[in-house]
Amino acid sequence: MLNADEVCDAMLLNDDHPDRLAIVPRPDLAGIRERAGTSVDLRLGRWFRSFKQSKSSHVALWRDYGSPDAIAKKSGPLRTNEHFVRFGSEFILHPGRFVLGATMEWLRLPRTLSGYVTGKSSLGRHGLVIETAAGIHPGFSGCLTLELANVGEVPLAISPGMEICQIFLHRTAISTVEDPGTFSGQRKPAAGFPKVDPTFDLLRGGGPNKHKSPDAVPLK
Amino acid sequence: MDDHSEAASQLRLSSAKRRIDAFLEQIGELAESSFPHDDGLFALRTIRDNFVDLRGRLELPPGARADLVDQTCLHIGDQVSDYTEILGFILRSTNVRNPFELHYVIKRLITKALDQDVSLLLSSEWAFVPFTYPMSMELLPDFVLIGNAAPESNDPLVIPLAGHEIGHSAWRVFGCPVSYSSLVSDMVVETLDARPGVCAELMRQHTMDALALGVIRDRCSGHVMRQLEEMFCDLFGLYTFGQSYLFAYDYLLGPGGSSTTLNYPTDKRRFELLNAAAAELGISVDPVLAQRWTTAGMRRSERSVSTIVDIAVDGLIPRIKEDLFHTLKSKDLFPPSAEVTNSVLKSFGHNEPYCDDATLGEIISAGWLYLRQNDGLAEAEQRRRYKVLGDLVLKSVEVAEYLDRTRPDA
Repeated sequence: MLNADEVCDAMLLNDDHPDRLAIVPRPDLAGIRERAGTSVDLRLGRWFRSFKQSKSSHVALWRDYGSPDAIAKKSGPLRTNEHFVRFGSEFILHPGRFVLGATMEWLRLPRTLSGYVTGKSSLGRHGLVIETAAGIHPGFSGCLTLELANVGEVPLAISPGMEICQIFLHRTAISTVEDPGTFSGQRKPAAGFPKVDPTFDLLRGGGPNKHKSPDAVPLK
Repeated sequence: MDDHSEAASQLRLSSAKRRIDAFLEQIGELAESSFPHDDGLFALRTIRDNFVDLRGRLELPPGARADLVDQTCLHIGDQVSDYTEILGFILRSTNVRNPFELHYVIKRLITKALDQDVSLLLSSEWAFVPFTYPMSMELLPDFVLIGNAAPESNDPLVIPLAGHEIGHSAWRVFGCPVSYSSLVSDMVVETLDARPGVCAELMRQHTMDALALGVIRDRCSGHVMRQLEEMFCDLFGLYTFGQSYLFAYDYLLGPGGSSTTLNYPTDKRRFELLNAAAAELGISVDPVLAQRWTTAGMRRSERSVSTIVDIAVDGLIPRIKEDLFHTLKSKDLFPPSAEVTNSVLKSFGHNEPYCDDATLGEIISAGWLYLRQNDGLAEAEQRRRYKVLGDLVLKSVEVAEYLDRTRPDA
């Protein structure tokens, strides 16, 4: 795991250096060195994505070729609402509710670093759970999508610009595959949708060429 | 007043009351929207307060004069009609397709350029005019409203055209119509005197010989003033947004050929004047942009006026340009720096937002240059890349806001 000096040094490498770590807006490097910890605090961005109430009985967490509902095939942004919260304003997360947020910082990891994101204990003790899919792969580029849940008993106000999570970084053996971060990334939180999984399709008995899963055939 | 007339008054007044009530109910529903910035809500409240006041004016005593009732109802009808359009605009300003990150930096630009606090509504339009109310609405005199075409409202690269719309506000705030009116009149007289053939042709179109010359001069002066305002706005957009203004202009208007009216210079002519001004400002221009602009023909009956107007405008543009650039410079506003633009472009090349301070013009110009360097990013396999470019631009804009808000002296 990189220590504070190594994190700062990675950010200060020349623009064209392949091992340079980019965090934009740039965090307070003097503060990181002074704390001498191993993490970098990141701030909450202004975009949120919440899930709509709908007439659907459930959401399938796989790519469902058999669904007559085209939206379900994407299973993404269309069943969510986006929200923009300006600086100085708040987003209220009620007990038991869940929302996607994003870091204000745009990260770009070199191919030699990976990391993970975790919540801040000071927030977690109030019931705010942050991030459950924590891995950040080498070459990642973009704002981190944060899964924010209130598992406490009182509504929690969160506000753009506040320190919301922290990342830890590790050195990684360089992969031979092409840099996955080449022109990718986004500034808003992404709901994401399931990727194509041929093995799962075969196991389930459906797949892109059959167009109907056995479960979808109506009984007569 | 007879019974029928009294009944008609009551009918009209109750109709007007119901129209205002429906309008106020609509405002109440809109106020529940999620506003990205306070300005939209502030506009709604201002409109609501005025319509509540209008509603009160409909409480006329029985037997009120018929012409007073009719005039009051007529005014109400006009107000409801005018401001219904604005309500739609305000509603669309809450659509999450809009790049809300632009609000702070554009407002900062306007405030600096106009030297006064303004409110800004950035929205979208279904019928793209483009829509602008340059601080000209009776109820919202301090509001600048800028609308992008609805399908492109999420694209930050077209925002430089907002520079033109802000220019209309600057034209008023700087007092240009008054400053230039005698200059315009003198130039029109001089131009007509120097072209007796064209002047004679124009005189033949009028029957009232004694007044003809005055009418012709006034008409030409009106068109010259309108064209100067349009060119002033283009120059304002060019000065503040640099080459990105030219790219956005070409994107939306190229290759020209839209209908020609006497109140607008032709698209081609505007572009030529912009190119010349860019050279003066040291703004590099992609030579491809200047290629193959066309112009629609002018109606035969207007050609003589057009000749006079074009010559007069040409004669006055240098003065307008010099005054505008001098005024903006005195307000500590400068055209985008090529050096900073290239640094931003380099960041985009690394797939990163720009991490230092840059103006909106520098960031958007870098976005356009990136697009040009990568074959326009219009093919199906490049769509994702185009979207990422938009996000990099908007994140860079947000960084500029972050740096401004967190400056030690902020």
